[in-house]
Amino acid sequence: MKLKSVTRNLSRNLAVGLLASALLAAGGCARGKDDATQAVNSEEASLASVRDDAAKYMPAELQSVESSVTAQKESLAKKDYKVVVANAPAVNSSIDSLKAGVAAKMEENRAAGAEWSTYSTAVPQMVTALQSRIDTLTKSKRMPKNLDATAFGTAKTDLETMKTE
Amino acid sequence: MEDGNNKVTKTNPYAQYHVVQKGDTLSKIADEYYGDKMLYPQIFDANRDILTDPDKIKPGQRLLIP
Repeated sequence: MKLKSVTRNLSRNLAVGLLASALLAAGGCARGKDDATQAVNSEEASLASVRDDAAKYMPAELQSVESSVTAQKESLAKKDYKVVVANAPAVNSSIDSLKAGVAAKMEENRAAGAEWSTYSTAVPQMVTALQSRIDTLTKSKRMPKNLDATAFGTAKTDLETMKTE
Repeated sequence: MEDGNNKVTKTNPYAQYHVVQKGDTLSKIADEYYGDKMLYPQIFDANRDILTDPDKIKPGQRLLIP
């Protein structure tokens, strides 16, 4: 009688233990899925915020990061949640690098635009000043003391180059 | 091009200037900058806003050398 009771208790305890283990495993699995889904969603959102500018300024780097995010989505679809979560820091880091690179390129582009704006005003004025002097010196019977014919010829050639570039 | 005719004006930051010294004449200045005294009218024409007679220049005047 006692033996039967002990056996029944053991069976019940074992069943409870197995049920608890199954529930814990299910809970862990669900958390893994949530974490992986959140990681991929975050990666996609982060990449979307820079995609247009990256396509313009760093297309090769964008393609590389797109591949990483696509791989993450494929892992998520295959329920490789651990892989997704494990790779998330590296993917996020590559997106951050892309963002920084694009920002730098945009700043570089803005600076170049400002520089061009300056040159676009200054160069024509410089060309006018040089052309004016060359036109006058062409009428001169001889060169002034500080200029010889070779240097004058070089100046004329350089000016023509400036005008055509 | 500035003014559309290759003429350098006083608003051009790359224009060259000569400050008249005692004893200067437009011919002398033309010889210095162009190597040809006979080109003085170029300087006179470029400075008609401050010159009325090519034979009358004053020390201290700042002449545009076109």
